Amino acid sequence: MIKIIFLALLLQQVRPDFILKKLRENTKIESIKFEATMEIKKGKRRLLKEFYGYGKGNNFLIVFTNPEDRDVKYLKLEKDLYIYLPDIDDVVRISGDMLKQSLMGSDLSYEDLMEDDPFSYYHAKIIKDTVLEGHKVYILELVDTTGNAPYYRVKLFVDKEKYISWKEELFTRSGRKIKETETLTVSRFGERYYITDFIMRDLRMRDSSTRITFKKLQFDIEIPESFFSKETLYK
Amino acid sequence: MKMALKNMLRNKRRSLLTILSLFVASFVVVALYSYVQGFLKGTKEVLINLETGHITIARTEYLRKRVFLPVDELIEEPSPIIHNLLKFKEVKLVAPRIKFIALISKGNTTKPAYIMAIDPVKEKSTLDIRNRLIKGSENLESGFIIGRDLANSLKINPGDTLILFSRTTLGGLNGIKLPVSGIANFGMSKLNRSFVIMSLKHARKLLKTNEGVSEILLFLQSEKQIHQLKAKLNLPPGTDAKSYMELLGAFGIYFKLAGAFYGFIYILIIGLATFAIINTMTVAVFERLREIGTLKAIGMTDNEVFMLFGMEGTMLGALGGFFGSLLGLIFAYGLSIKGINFESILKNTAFPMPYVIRPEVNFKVFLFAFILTLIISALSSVFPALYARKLTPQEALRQV
Repeated sequence: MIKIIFLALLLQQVRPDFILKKLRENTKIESIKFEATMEIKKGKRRLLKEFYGYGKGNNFLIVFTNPEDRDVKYLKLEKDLYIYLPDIDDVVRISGDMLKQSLMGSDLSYEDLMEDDPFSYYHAKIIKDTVLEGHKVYILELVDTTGNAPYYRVKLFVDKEKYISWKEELFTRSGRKIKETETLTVSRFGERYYITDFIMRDLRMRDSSTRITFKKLQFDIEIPESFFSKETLYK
Repeated sequence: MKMALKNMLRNKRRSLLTILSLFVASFVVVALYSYVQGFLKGTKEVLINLETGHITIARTEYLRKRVFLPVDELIEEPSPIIHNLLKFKEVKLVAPRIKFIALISKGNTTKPAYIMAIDPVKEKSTLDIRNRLIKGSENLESGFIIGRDLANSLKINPGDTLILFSRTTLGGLNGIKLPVSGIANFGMSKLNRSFVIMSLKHARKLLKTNEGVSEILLFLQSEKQIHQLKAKLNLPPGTDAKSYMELLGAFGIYFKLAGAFYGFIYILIIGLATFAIINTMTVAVFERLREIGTLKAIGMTDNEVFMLFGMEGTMLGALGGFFGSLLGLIFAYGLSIKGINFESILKNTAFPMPYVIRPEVNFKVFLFAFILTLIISALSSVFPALYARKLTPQEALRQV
């Protein structure tokens, strides 16, 4: 009995807001430079995309380098996403409902890339602490309080020491789980822990998964502002 | 017969009411049948012409995932298959198509579009683009046709150049710029909001495929030939053929069941109206008991009495049935000229039903409703007529 009371008190000491703050500290970046691959599996088919990019504040630029998408560029400027299509040397803007569309046939939507602070929509509560595949985690339940979140309810399995999520489950208002992510690798960069390899599955699509692996990552480096302008896309 | 007619005229009001109930019933049957057939036929025609043909040939894997319109499951070399299909005498048209989802962009606005790429020369009749055009031309050689509501949401006009972009067959992302040739009302809300028709040439450039098609649609001389032809097709491995009924799923079942269901409704309507005849004839028998007794006493046989009452009921049914069915037919004809427009109800729904329903004018329906009314009237007169037949003159006269 004493043990249960002690555990309950211990759980209460770690407030959900504190966990979210620590999560934000790991994900919030001043600037970032990266090289990565995106492996999309649809049944027996497998597509490998390669890209590099830069991020600064709420903006980012991604340039694809694999032969099928060479020089396709994605530029996020605040709430807008621009796509540069090299074959026609022109740019299209994606916004509003269109952001729910799949990113290049993957399990990610454009919206999944766009959130500057994905936790800002939610009220969080700790529902359990447990062990997930050898990692001690808090299970955090986030529920949308704004009506604007891309997913109504999110279940996070947050590492108790590193404050990264090993697993995320994303639900609709009706309670249907539509997506899940699974973290494969977490790397340490100074004081920061960062997810460098993860899989997202859109459960509405049969036998489908998308794995994103960061090959190179640099944080808080000098990146010119000019990288994040529509003009850059045409270069 | 003369006597039956005379009896009918003796109580004009009652006879008129009976005739009227049969009249209304047969009118409703003919009008409802014409409307329902018009709806089913119109919906089926649109779905066959736009979606499936009578038979769709595609890669087996494509057919399994058809709802997602996958661009990575194309028939890469359709020419030998098409060449082979043209040899069948049952085949009226072979229509290769590519269907896929793309994003269409003008200025800062981007919308999803359901693209159907066709051979513009071969498919003039199936899509009837010329009659659906609201603005611009039907030229697919240099541009594309876009649904009215989608055009409005993008605020575009014929001549404007748009960007269309999509995943390619290799899984990459590609875009093309094309001018709008025309804006069309496809007569169905779902299509007006998302439909774009372009030529195979442009779609292949966008999807980066040389010859690929997602579907080969077969339009046959007659729908009855579907199963016979399907059995004869010798398709390459990995490809399959499906009839429109198989592809439409729940709709296919609906088409099958609708005939039986509405048939039951028609019989029910006529059945209800026949109670009027039973009622009229039973009252007539009881009102005329003295007359029946007298007629039998002066030598009228049981069969003649039976025939007299049977004939009277049948004649009431025949009159109501004939004029009701005739008016139903005229009514259906009148509505079929312009059709009934349901656009205001359907424009915000995804239900695949054409805006304009044209009731089907069919003389067979007139005959069906008339004969049905006649038979049921005759049958419903049997019971009161039998009662009159059984009566002896003494019994009849004693009950007065």
